[in-house]
Amino acid sequence: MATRHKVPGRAPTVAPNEKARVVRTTDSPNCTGACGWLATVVDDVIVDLKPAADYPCQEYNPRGCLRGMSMTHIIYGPDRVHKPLIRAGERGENKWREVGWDEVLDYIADHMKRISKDHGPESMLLFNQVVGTGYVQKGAQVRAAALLGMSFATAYDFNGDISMGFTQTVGIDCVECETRSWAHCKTAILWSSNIFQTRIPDAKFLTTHAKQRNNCQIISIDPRASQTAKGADLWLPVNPGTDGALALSMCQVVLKEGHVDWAFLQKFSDVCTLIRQDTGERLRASDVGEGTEAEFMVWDEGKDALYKLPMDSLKLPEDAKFAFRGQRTVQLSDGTKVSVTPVFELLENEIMRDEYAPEHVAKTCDIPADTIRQVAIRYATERPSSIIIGMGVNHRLHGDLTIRAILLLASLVGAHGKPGESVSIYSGQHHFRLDVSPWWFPDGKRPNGVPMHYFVLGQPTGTMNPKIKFPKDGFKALFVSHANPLVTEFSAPMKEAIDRLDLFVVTDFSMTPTCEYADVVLPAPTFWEKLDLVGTSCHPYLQIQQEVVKPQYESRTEMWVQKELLKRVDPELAKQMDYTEEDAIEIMLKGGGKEVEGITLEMLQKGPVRLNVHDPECGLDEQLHEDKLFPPRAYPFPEGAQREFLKTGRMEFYKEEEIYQKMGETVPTYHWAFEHLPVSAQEMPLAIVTPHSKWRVHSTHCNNPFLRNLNRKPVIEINPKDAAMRGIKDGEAVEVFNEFGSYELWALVTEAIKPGVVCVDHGWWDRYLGAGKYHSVHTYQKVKPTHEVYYLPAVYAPGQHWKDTRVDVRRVK
Amino acid sequence: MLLLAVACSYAQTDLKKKEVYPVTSCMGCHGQNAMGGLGPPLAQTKVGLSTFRQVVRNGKGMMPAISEADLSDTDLDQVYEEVKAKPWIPDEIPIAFKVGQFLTPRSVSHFFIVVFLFATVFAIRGLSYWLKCAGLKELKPAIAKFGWARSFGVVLKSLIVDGFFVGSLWQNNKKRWFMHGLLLYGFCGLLLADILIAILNPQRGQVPLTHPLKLLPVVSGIAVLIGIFYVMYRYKKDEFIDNGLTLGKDFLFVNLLVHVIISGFLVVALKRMGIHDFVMTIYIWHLAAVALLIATGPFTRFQHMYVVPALAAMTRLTEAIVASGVELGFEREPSPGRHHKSMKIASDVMKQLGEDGPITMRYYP
Amino acid sequence: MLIDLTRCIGCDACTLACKQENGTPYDTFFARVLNVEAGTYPDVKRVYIPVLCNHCDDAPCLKSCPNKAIVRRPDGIVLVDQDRCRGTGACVSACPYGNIILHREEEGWYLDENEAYEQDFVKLRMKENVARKCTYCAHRVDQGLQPACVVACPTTARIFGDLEDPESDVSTYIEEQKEQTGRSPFHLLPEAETKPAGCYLGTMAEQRPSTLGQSDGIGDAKQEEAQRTQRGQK
Repeated sequence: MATRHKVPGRAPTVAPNEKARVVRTTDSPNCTGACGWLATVVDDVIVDLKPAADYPCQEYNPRGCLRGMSMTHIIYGPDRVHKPLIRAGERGENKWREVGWDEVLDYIADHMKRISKDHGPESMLLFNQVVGTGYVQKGAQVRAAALLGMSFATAYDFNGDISMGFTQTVGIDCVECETRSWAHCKTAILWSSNIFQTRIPDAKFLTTHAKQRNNCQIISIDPRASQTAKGADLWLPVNPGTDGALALSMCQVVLKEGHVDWAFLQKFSDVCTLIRQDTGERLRASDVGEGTEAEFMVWDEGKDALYKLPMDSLKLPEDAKFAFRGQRTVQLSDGTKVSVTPVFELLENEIMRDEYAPEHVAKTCDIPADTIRQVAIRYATERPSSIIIGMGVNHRLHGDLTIRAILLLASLVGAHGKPGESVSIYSGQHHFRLDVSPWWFPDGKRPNGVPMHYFVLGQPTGTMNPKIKFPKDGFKALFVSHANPLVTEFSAPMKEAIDRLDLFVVTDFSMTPTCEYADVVLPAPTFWEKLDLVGTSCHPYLQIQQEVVKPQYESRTEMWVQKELLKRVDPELAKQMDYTEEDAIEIMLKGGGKEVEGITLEMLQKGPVRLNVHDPECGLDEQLHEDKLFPPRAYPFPEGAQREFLKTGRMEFYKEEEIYQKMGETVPTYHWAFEHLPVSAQEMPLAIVTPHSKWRVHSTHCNNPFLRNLNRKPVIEINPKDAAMRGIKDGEAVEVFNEFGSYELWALVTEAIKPGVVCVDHGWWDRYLGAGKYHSVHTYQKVKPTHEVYYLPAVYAPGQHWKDTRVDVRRVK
Repeated sequence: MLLLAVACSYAQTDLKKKEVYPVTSCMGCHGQNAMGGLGPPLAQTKVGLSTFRQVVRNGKGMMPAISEADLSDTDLDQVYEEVKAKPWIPDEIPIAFKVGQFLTPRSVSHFFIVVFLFATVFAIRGLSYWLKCAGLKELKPAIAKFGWARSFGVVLKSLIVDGFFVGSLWQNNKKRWFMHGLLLYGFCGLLLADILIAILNPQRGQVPLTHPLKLLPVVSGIAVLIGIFYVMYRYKKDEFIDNGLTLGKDFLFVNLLVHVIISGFLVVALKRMGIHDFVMTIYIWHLAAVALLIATGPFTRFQHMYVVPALAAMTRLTEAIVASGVELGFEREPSPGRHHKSMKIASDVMKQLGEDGPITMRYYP
Repeated sequence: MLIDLTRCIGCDACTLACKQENGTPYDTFFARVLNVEAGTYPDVKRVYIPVLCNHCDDAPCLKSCPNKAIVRRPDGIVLVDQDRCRGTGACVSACPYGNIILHREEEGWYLDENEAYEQDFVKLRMKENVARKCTYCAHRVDQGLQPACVVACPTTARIFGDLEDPESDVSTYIEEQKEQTGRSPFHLLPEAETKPAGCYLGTMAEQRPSTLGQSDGIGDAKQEEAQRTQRGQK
């Protein structure tokens, strides 16, 4: 916290400025790291940032990274939006009229009133990113949307961060152990996860702790020798999009070598439930007249009779010995006889197919068969073993199948729920640490949840879940906040969808390309200028984000803006927004559920407070240790809201719904990732991966002058073989293109990437590219029908498939 | 020891007779009783008068030529007579003569060649160390891309501007540049004078003070003297002169330089004042100081005369390469200009980690 | 200072923490991280080498400075005295590690001209046209604090202390690692004979990513064609 001395010469060191004031705060960017900081402030200017390093659990100290450290250059950066702006030219022309807050709020309110009257309030859509951090300010936006009856699209599913494989298997979109739990690993598989870059403050649990103390073997599965491969003992450069085959092959090895944890499977999964051959659905208690439709039957081998699975707890009788295999015939209550098979046998039939034999998969994945065996056996035997899944697996149309296969692998060997044993996916931060509904949803009133996909598509799909209320006249207004979709999720259809809007309002602190396309830009404070409550899935500490300095320039907090806006739109409703930030925090702490019981604002003001969760938190703790039925509750939805898509209350490896049967996805299987593309797109020679960059949090910090000093140009990583074939030399300007779009950047010829794969790090703003628009090459919006069977915003909702993209590269002449 | 021996020889002198010999400058070198000093004994000399005259008027070996203005023909002849008449007292032949015997221009120049060679060997060794530090070897590929001729131009310009004209001081502090200039150019002047005298006046015939050959060393000497006194003043006043590593060596250099200049001036001054007794002694002191200055050069502060221009030139060369953008690595390097050193460190570390083979540096992402 | 290469993840937090603390101008980085790549696909090895001033016992920069502007403090920290430096540039070349930075042209800054942050708190401290380098955050050390890069390193790969004091953090860590992982510290460019104070612990023996992928005909269109056909047959 010493700050800004003169560069030391030989004169004695000057004492720190007396006016300096040190504030303990936390930040809440979209990396969701929620690191604690000490900010030194002099004359309302942040002059220094240092990691706070005050977590009661010493292993967490220090937390922080280069992006947090260089935040001063965003706060005072050249691209800050200083005043509210109203568009003066055409959209995207970047001509603006600087106005006062009164004028801009009146302008928006008038539009909102008109649109609401003409098309209904649900035609106005709120899209704000990473709502899991910053419960107060982002909550204020959602609260206002709920009060007005607007639509609300969670960015989480639109990003593709939602992991439907998890939802389908465990009933919640992501399972995360606290990162400290990694320290116990003896085997850690980083499945397309680039922890060293994306979880910088947590990487120490793999290097310093697991590696140095337990000699943990770190296995990196990635087509590119990512930064993480540096610390890995084994790098498996898998063919992009073939991870599912690899996972199933590992399942086969585990099964063949007899490393199956039968007790775990019997108790925690659905593999003993019986599938009716006639319907393809589970045998229910109601079918055989022994109970309700919500209860399921298994075959007890001890008693040689049907047994009804308990639905109040996972606890089974000690002598329970259910059948895993064997087709049996049972008589239904209506007298008909049907043949039933345990799920395990169906799984086994799938897994044991020749197609998943290591020798065969070796060709598919381009990994030697022996390596596959070695990794699978190591994972099963050298315990504790963890898998951390990254977005390279998840951002695919068939990513759900891959994740289901990975979860199956972990369940076969029972690697769940112990320190150092889990399958985690740190995908964004939907995982609320407390129930925010008392603040977000006044009197239980929720906004109309709509996946952003349908906004972009402009119309519902034929298979859209009937629960979703698509506005009758389509969307008329879009409010984007904390997001930069025209960079990170840009596509031509999205631009068209925005072009159809009457009003496009963007709230941001930087003048992003999305702002440049807006009708109205509202200056927002950064997370150093507003009070908020912050939680994260990376560590179980709840923290207060302080107003370290006043909102800079003319920016106003989201809370203030929503209050003022509501006053103008509907003064009656505005009364329900009449709270301060402190009030909001107290409301949430009071009604936030057992995790925050006993935690008060005063405690939080003093420093980070550990939530009431298991120590260490391993993911699925309540289920695996307290025998509570799956799924873990997904805040902010009420208890039981997830039951419909996880009916058995156990890990489901068999999905019985009709659409799954139709698509052949009842059990985890493997589909080539690019299968769903048009043939012309499939024929493009290169697969493209778009990992998160060390220099940015998505597209934030892209314009940070500090970081730009280090990361000067956007590059595309390409193997020398591919480069030579195209006559590309290192450093040359190249164009990456396909039928969807193209953009220009510079080549980085490197041996660290697999031939046939190129890599552009994610989130480059237009102005830094040679030409074109970042993300324009990625495949268009598509919704997988299995993702539409149910709908619970950000829990069971359509995902994304950005990485199912094939491109080609050519030199720019 | 040398000085001591000379001093001893003078201790034995006594002034009794009113002769010409004792009041001429001859006595300074040839001894009170003409039994030799630094010069050979003249008592009972077997040299003929004409040869004697010729030697005096033209000089011989270390002996300077003496003009009629200093010693008239009559006096010359008289001196000849006087010394020829002096008794031969072998005991009085001083050790100094035995030393002085070696002080021929040839032997002095041989001696200095040896000293120079010694210094040069170490200076080159030092310079190659510095160039290694500067990463010349690793810079070669970049220089090749940049062009050798262009590089030579940059280096030459730097040597002139940064080296000879001390550009950095000129920009920052004119007063210090001037003081430094006194030393630098004074020293150069002295060197130049030495060379010119060796060429134009090998016998060191007496020349008037206004003669350029005399003026140059005197002016240069004064410049260096002022400069070095300023340096000494700074050594006394500057509390930060000790950088924790090189103070002793620096001080040695300053001391030697002071000795060189002061002894040099004393020689000239005493000669002019006609105090011949000590001239030769002080001259030897002077020569010794110069020799030491040169011999210790590669190890004392003296080395900065060639190290700083060389290193500054390397710095400018790297800057020029960075600015030209011919080498991609240099352009990408976050602190431009150190790509070659980064590569060197990287391959060194990889070697220490047991990984041989080529490496590449990734600057971003 | 000891840097453990097993722990370092090449995140550049040190680089930025240093900039934040020392407020250095554009293109000036006292602490850098070299991102090294060796081998050919699929036997690729990547190593991150954080570099900063080594504060050598026998510092070439110090010996090369014509102005005696570089000084070695009794505690071993080597500093460039900003008031004495005349920007000759000899030290820049003299440092075999390339850790001294001198911009002779006008220095670039990051923010708009009216930003108090840079104008009042950063630029004022800087003299133009002088050589600069890492100070081991001498001003922090004097106050009993650790250097900014050490405090900020999220993987605690940097361990700071007195190498001569057997009780210091760094000495105990070296001893501990000798026993636990059999690694001994090494210096950069030992042939430069500079006796650096910064030392390194190498990557652990097993941590040599051995790749077990095949290198022939991977990922090319032909193979994918084969895959597609095979999918079709299924």
